[in-house]
Formats: sequence, structure tokens, C-alpha cells
Amino acid sequence: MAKIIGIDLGTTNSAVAAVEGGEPRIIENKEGNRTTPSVVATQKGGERVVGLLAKRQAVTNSQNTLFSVKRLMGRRFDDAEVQRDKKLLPYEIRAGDDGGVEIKMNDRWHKPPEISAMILQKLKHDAEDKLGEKITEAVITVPAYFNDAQRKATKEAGEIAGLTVKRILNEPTAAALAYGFGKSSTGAQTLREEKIVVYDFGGGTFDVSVLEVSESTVEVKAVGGDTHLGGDDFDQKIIHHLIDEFKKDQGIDLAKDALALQRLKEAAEKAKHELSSTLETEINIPFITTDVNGPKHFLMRFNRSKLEDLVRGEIDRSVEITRHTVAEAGFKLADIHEIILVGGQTRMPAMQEAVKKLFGKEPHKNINPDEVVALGAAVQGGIMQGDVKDVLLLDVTPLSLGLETLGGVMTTLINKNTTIPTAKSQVFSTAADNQPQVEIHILQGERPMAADNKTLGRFILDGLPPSPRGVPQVEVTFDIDANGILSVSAKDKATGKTQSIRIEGSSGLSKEEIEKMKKEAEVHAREDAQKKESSEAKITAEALIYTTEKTLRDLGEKVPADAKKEIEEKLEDLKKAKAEADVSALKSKTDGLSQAIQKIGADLYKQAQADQPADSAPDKKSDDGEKPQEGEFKDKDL
Amino acid sequence: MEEEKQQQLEEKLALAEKERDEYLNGWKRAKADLINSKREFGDQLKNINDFAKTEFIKQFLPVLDALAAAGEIAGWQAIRKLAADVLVKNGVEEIAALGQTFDPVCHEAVGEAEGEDGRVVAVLQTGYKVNGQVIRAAKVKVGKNNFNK
Repeated sequence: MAKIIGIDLGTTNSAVAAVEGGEPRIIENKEGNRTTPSVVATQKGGERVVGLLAKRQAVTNSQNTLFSVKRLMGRRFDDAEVQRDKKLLPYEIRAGDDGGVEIKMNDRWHKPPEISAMILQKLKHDAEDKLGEKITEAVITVPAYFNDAQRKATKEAGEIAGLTVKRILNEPTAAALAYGFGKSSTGAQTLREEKIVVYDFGGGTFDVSVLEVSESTVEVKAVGGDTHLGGDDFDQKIIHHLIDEFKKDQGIDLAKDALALQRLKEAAEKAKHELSSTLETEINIPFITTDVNGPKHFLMRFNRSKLEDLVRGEIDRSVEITRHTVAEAGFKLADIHEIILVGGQTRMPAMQEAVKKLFGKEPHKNINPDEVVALGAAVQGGIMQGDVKDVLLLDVTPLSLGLETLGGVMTTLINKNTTIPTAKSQVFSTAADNQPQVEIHILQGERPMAADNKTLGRFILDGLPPSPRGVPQVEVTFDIDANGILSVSAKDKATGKTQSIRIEGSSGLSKEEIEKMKKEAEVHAREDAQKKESSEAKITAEALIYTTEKTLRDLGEKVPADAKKEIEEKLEDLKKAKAEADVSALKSKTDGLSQAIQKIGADLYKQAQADQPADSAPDKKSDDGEKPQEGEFKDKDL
Repeated sequence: MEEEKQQQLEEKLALAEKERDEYLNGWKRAKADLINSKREFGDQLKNINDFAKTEFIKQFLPVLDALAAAGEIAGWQAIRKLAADVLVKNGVEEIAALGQTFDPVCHEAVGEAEGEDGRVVAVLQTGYKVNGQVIRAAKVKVGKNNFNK
């Protein structure tokens, strides 16, 4: 079964997305870009080019380069909009037999859907290359204000391109779907009725829509906008400003210098983008032009507030249109639950601020505003792909899962937000010599100390053969199935002995409980870190005490008396410190003892080398220089 | 009675088979998605070096433009050559444009001028390729016979 792709067939740019692994993803075109200019051209040799290449040759072939065809889709030639656009378009259009629009390209007359089909064909073709499978079905988006004829024309375009159009979807609805609103049509739990405003400020057009999303429907309550207001106007304003400033400063008009204008254009666009994240930027274009006095350089600081001054009028206008549209839908501004930002220009902080101020709440903006419509169309395609997708809707574990290890510390095996089903194993060991059993204490939560997390269950694996601490290998496996049921098993690798437990309610926490646990983890982060530090310091101290005693015992007489005395004193000190609460004292005493014990190790090696006669007998180099065993273990102690 | 029971069983079987196909399909799809994304991730990792380089060069382009604009002014030419050498060593090449047949794959027309039809008659901004991939098209003027008419 081939994928149903989602296509945002835009006025200036188009994008394609498909659902992969349950998530929508933008598919890059052949040129490696995530959006494709909606431009078609026939070159002099009769060769057809689409997208970026068509755009690049537009100037030299303006009569045969078609753009903004979306403005003509499904319209009648005598529509007021068509008559207005006719004056702006460099290519020729005329009335067809049916009263519709026909467009001339390379001496042939085409209907708008045929041209749109050429764009769709490229998108389809590039997507096939990228996905490695044949594409036959698509969801295509249209503006909410498109009438029946315009929708039909769009569908026709899809069919000419060899696509079965599974649905014509409203652009604002697609955006809402991408954000997960109104997904209830999947049959998942129903949402409350929500009123959503989609504010779409693109490169060339501004659209605002008011949606009402209920159990199974998305209803468009009102639409508004301006088909000739967009981010491109902003670029123009910046360039004019820069030209004016330079003229004031140097008396030279850069507008007449094609070379300079080119560099200025690029710098203006760069400055606009930079000012979305910084407050000030520098426009630096050395050698921008020359006059009789020699080369001239363009150097100017440009800040965010200046930019905002330049485009304040446009932003205010869009806000006014939005206010008006909400009223038209019969709602108050306070009725609106969610606001979604679409279109590249909405990255501008001043615009986000203006929208936020209007509604008194934060708009949604974390999905790339250039891609959100195509992504939503892909989500729709995914939903239509069939019931299969419902079954495959995968959940995540809301909280981390792990077990208690030495010192009351929680060791996490499965991190929160891991997609399930999943399994994870880790090998642990014992904390004491001849420890006959280990207790597996299963925990859920984000706090570092076991006691602060929720206990899901515990069990004991016994019958471990007597052995020194750190030697036994107990493999613990956590396995969560698709229903969130957790199975934990522990296996002693030496004997093969296994114990396990099944915990049904591992995600049985309510949403509130989960949020509470996550919050608590944040609130207590500092003190938790201290507790953990103190616990770890104690574990290190204990391990060192153990190693020291063992070393002294093993080496016996080999340790010089004075060194032995020093070590024993430090050992006693450390034991005392361990009983007290002062972590830094404990750490420094641990360091002290550690150094002392290392010294005797080093001394013994030296001694062993000195003792060795020049013609050392090979049979006599056995256990003399045995190194004291390190107090660390490869795996965590249970 | 028997018949009814058998019919019920058959219906159940048909449903189970349908469901099985659905689940198997879904499973295959999920597995294929995983394999594909792994492969793609591998490819991306391979390309990440190129990607980092390309991003760097892109940000460096205004410097090259400035050097180009400095043109024949004494001293600057040598610096330009120095920069060009570093770029060539890193797989960056200037796009040949002047006098070539206009090709939208690597040229962007920003205007027209008197000259041979379809040939690049002026370069306003040099274009660059990294390892054969166009990172910025050359901005050019394209020739047109009797342009001034």
C-alpha cells in the first residue's frame, strides 16, 4: 500500500509531506529544498522547467514563465480578482469557451489546472524518488475561502498529474491537524469543542480563519485576509530604507546600480531573519559601489525596533483583519481557545507579540510555519490510510522506570518519553561479600533517590552462590509492551536462576499525577542532587574502607609498620566521618586514605623491583607485586 | 443449527484473516519505516561533513562578494586569490558564467542586456558550487538581440 502524501499547493511556494513511522515529515525536492517555488516555464528549446529552475530563468523568459496560477484556479475570466491580477501578470491570459481563464505559454493555451498539474507532477516525482515508492494518492490543501469551482479545479489538477485526490483539505484545518487539534476523527478520545484561529502570513498573501473543531468535524466559521499582503512587502520596505539611508549619507542612489542592488537584497533578507533572534545586526557590504572619489562601503547598524517601525502598518492591518474576522464568526476574542501561526513571516517577534496581545494568550508556533500546512495534509493522509494507523498509534512512557541500587539511588533503565513497546537490559552486581540474594525494587519517577519515587513492585532473586562483592552478574530486563504493561525479570548469569514480575498499572497514573511527579522532580532538583552526592560519597567511602581492609589483610607483614599505622588512623577517621553528615569532610578523608593506600602499593612495586636480582629466576615472579584491588566495579551494585 | 454455527465460524475467520492482513501490513510498514529512516540517517551522517562545510561557505559568501567587489584595487587582488585557493582546496568552485549559454541549473537571470541571444553577457554576482552541488546560482544578465529596441 503506497503512502498518501500531503501537498500544500501554495501561491508562491509548495511543499510535500508524508507520514513515516506515525509522524509527518517534509519530503525534500530534487534540489534538496523543503519547499518548491510554484513556478512553471517553457524554455526557448521547448523544454519545460518547474520550481527553482523556472524561477531562475523568469526574467529572461517572462512571457512563458507562469507563477501565482493559484490566483486563477477555478475563476471566471470576468471575475474582478482576475481582472485585477491580469494587470500584474507578465504572461497572457484570455477567456476560454466556458468563461474560465486560459493562460498562454509557448504559444499554447492552457487551463489553470493543467499548469498546477505540472507543479504537482514535479512534487510527485521528487517525492517518489525520495521515498523510493510509487505515489498515486494525495491530500491537497486549498485556502478556506476557495469556492466549489476552485476546489474542483484543484482536484482536477491532481488528477491530471496522475494523483487520486483523496481529499481537498482547507489550509487552516491542515495546520490545526498538524498541531493535533481535531484529530478525534481517528476515533481516539473526543476533544471538547474548540475555537481555533489560524493566522497565516505568507510571502505574498495574508489569510485568517476561524475554525470550530468538534467531535468529528472541523467547521470554518469565518475567513478574512488580504491577497496582496505578505512578507515580500517587508523585504521591499527594508531595501528602500537602506537605499534612502545610503543616499542621505553618500548622495549615491543604489537603486540604479543592479550589482549593488543584488548584494543589498541579500543583506536585507539576512538582516530580517537575524532580527528574529537578535535585537541588533550590522549590515556590512564593503565596496558596494564606486564614485569619482574611489570605492564606497555600506556599513550600517540596523535594529529590531527600526524594522518594526518600517512594517508596523502592515502588522496592524493584519491584526485589524483578524479582529474583524473573529467578530464575523460571531465570537468574542476571549472565546478563542487556540491560535496557530502559519507562514514564514510569523517568525517575526513583533508579529507574534501583536497576535498575543490581541488574544491575550500565547499562539502556537513551534512547528515550522512554512511547513505546517503540508505536514497537516500528510496527517490527514495518514488518518485516511486506514484503521491500521490507529492500531499503530504508539504511546510513550510518561515517567522513567528503573530500580533501586546501592545507597538508595534510583538507576533508570527506561527514560521517560521512550516510545513503547520497548525493552532494556543491564547487568548489576552485589554490594557485599557472599551476598546470597538481591532485591529488585522497581521504581517509577524522575527523582534521583529511590525513596522519592513511586514503588511499582519488588521481588527477590536468591540462591546466588557465595562470592566476593561485585563478582556475581545479575541481568535485569525491563520490558514494556504496547499496552504499557511492564515485565521485569532478573537472571543470575552463573546459575541461570530467574525471577520475574508483571506490573499492569505501570502507566496507571492519571495525567495530573504524572504532571505532579514531573513538577516535583524539577522543584527538588537541587536538594536531590545533594542527596545523591552524599549517597555516592558514602558508597565510595565504603568501597575504599573495604579495599583498604582487604589490602592490609592480604599484604600482612609486607606493609611497613609506620605506613600501616598511618593508614589505620586514616581508616578510623573515615569510618567516623561516614557516620556524620558532612559530605565535603567525607570526601576529603576518602581522598586522604586513598592516597595513603596508593603509596604503599607504589612502594611495594619499587621494593619488588629492587629485590629482584639481575639474573632473576623466571619462576619467582608470582604474587609479589599484586596490586590492591580497585574499589570500583564495572557495573552498579544492587 | 450446524449450518448457522459454521457460518458464524466462517465469518469470524474472515474477520480474523482481514485483521491479520491489516496488522501484518502495519507491522511491515513500521519495520520498513524504521529501516528507511536508519538508512537515511546513515546517509545524513555521511553528508553531515559536507553539510557543515556548505553552511559555512554560505555564510562566508558575503566576504567573497566584498573581495570580488574590491576588484582591481591594489592589494585586494592578492587577498582574493588567497581566499580562492583555500576554497578550491575545500571543493568549492566558482560557477563559470560569462559567455556561457544561460542555464537555470546554475545561473539566475536578474536582467537582460544587448548581446547574443541566450548567452550570459554580465555576471552581477559570482555563483558557487560545493562538490558539484550549486549552493548559490550566479546572478547574471542574459543577452538579447536588439534589446534596446
